[in-house]
Amino acid sequence: MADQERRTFLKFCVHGLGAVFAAVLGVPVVSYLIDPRRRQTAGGDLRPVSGIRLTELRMEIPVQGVIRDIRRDAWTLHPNDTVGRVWVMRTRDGNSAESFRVFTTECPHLGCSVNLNSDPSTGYTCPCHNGQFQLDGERIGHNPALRGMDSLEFEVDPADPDQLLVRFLKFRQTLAEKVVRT
Amino acid sequence: MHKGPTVFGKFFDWVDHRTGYRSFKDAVLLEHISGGARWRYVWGSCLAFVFILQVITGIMLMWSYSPGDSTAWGSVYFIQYEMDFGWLIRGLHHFGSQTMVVLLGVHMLQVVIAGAHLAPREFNWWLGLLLMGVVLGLSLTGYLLPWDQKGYFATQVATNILGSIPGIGAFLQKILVGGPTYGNHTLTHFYTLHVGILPPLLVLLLVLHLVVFRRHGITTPPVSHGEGVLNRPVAVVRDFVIGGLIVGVCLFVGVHIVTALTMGGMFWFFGVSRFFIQKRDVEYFWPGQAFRDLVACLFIFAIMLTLVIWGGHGNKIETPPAAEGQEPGLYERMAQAGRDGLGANLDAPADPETQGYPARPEWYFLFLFQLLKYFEGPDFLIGALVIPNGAMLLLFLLPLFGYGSMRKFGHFLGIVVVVSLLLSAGMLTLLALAEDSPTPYPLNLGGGTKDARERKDRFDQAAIEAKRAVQLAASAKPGESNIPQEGARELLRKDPLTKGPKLFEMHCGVCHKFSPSPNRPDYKGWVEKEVTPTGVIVRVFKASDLADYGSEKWIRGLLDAPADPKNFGLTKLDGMKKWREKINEARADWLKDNAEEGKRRIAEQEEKFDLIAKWLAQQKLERKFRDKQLEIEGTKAFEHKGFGYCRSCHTAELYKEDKKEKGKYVYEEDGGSDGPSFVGYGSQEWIRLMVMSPALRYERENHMPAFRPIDGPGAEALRQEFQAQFENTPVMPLSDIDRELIIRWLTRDYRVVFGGQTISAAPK
Ligand code: HEM
Ligand code: FES
Repeated sequence: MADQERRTFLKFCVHGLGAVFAAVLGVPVVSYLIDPRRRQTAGGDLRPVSGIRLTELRMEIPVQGVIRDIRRDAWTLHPNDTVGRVWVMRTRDGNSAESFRVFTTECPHLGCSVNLNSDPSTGYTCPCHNGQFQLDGERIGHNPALRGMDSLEFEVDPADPDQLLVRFLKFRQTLAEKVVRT
Repeated sequence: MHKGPTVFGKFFDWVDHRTGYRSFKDAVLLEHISGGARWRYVWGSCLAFVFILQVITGIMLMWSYSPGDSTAWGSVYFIQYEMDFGWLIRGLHHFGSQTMVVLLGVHMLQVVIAGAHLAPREFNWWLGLLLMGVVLGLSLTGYLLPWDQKGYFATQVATNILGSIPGIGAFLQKILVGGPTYGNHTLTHFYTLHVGILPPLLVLLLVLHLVVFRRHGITTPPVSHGEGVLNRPVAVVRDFVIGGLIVGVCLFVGVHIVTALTMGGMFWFFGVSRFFIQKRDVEYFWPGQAFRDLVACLFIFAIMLTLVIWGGHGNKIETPPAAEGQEPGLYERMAQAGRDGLGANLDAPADPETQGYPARPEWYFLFLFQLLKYFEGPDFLIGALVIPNGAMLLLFLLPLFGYGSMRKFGHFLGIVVVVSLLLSAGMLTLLALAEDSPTPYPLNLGGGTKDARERKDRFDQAAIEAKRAVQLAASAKPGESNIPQEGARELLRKDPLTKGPKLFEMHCGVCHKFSPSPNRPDYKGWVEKEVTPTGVIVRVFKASDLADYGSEKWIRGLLDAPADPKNFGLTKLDGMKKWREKINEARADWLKDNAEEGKRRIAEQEEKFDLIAKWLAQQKLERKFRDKQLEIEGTKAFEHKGFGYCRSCHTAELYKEDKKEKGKYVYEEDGGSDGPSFVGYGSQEWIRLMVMSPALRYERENHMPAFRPIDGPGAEALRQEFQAQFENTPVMPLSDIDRELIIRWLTRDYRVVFGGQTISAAPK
């Protein structure tokens, strides 16, 4: 029976040592695989919108502008890349907080880039699943999106009345409420 | 597994009924080992273990690696220095390949000592040799993947050898390399071979190897017939001696002591264990041998870990200390230990532009590399192809000497051939190491030569560039790196510290000297006479010495002796020389009139010069960083009429009391225009103007050419306009980026230049 005990003991050792080894290798492996969790979305600061001069905007006609910022793509640094686009529309004269409406072009349904209709007064249409939105961003009719277009915070550059500054953010798709994606 | 009435048991019964897995498992685990389990049978299992580890870590690396000329280095950098535990994964994979090569040698040795290569196990020997070829192929292809200098240049040697095969070589080389030179397709090809072709091939061969092995079982050593057990004390002493030898050799070639002791410790453990182990005549693989295999594998794993942790192969990234309360925790410190220099080596990014990189293969290929040195000219093929392939052929033939009465001889021959091949390879490796050593090796093995010392310089420089590249790629925050999309090699190409001196020597050094300076501890200087290993270089300069240009000391030296060759002595600039002559004449007169009074006046004047030098040296700073008191005093001295009156020739930013408002000081730009302007003197902008348009600084007296980018669109128009205005100033080509690199280096601003834009801010 001594032999049986010895065999049992050895089996126990093999399983034990194996488990220790699996843990020593397993923890780093899992940490490594989920490393992208640490990477941050670009944006969040007030950034100038390029391609739009505020004083030249016409009432109720949205114009698309571009947000540029540092973009990090794993190891690559793009010092000044397009990180997003916005639809900007003048709703009132002057340069106050009520004078403009700013939306990200990212569709709240599944993230395609929303287009302006050829007749601007009829609003926006998403090319992917036909999400339709009014000029104020509200959904129209039968709509795959659960919320209207996502508006963004903005300011007029105190030093330049032509320059719009936008706090560009990305939001999670498909939800009924607007939640920032980090 | 469980049998019987529990739910588990029923489940496994059900599975077994459908699959028959239990009998399969038994077939695998209950291998008969006559003579009982032994430590000496562990090596094959260790090889399989490390291979599995390579597959696991290799797939992890694939998760983040990107083959491509502009991406490969960056992705490996990111794994090693930024990703959580990337250093460990890459480190294990890196040392895993070396461990496999060592284990192959040990396994082979153990096989011939047992005579296991002889009939009826010939096929197993042959399969083993094929496996060895595949492992070496994996090592060779893997070495290139990081696309660093070392892999890039060393692997070219290997593909050139392929190209030297008579007839078909050139064709094969071009196909493998993916074109006439190394590039994107070299990487995609090597990557495909490394992860897609060779590993499956290895698995296939390994399975065959094991199946064939099972057919005949393990070859038990002769001692286990008869008395059954090797004399215990002898075995213990033998294990201890082997362990000690290994530790000694490791320490001699510079392996870290922890690694050396872990290696030796494995054998000492084997030795000690013999006091507790009862030998038996017949045993199953499970669990006796399995236990031994596992213990040995874990020892191997521990050795690899010590190499990753203590090997000192990575480069430490210097970052500013973390702000209070933001220090990384234990997990972060471990996960990002790559930034402390743990893990595997990563050389500077591959750059085909590099001159004379001393390419060396990974250490286990050094013997082949050394072999090449002994054959001249047309005999090259002997060292490159005939001998290595001859040795392989010999190994292939070994089992054929095992039939009938030849068996004893065959056994003996196997041992002799393998031992002598291993010894020759070891010897050649040692010779290769010795030859590169700046200090001579014992026993006249080589080293200590002028060539070796010179090569040492080149290796050191490569190490500096590797460290610098990593430093430039990193940002202070782990997980964020600064590699441009053009590729990592641009980091060094556009680094003022690396490229500045080279560009200076090429463009400016034709006329300007640059004496060695304590402010540039890593620059040898650029002087009249330089002794190099290839001979003495003599240079003739035509302009000032630019070491520490713009500093207080430099300016003071100029005031003292404008005619000195290190100042304007070699140029046609006369203004300052004449000024100094007048000063000297005046001083002589003072002394003649009244020696005491003269000395006092001279001392007073010297103080004024000190002040002016100090003041002028701060003109390169932005106004807000200048010492205001010095600005006031300096302005006064600049306008002082007692000696020569600087402002009669030079313009400067004068800092004076406002005429209308008492106590308020304002700037005013004023002065003469015979000499160069002092506005921003010594700043990057000042130097830029001097370089691009020296005539604006020194008008007629100027002899420096204008350095301008002259091959872009529009450049020709600017050149003609420039020549129309300054017909006497020749124009020399210098691109914007090269100019900025030189200027940044001169002003000791070492941030990377990116299309004129700073992207990486290494410490200034
Ligand atoms: C016996 C098997 C193997 C050997 C000997 C081996 C060898 C090597 C070597 C020497 C390197 C260069 C490592 C360095 O300098 O850091 C390397 C890199 C690499 N290997 Fe393997 N390898 C093996 C198996 C595998 C397998 C099975 C995979 C994937 C399925 C793999 C994926 C990679 C990748 C992606 C790299 C590039 C990353 C890097 O260099 O850090 N390897 N391999
Ligand atoms: S993504 Fe816009 S409608 Fe689906």
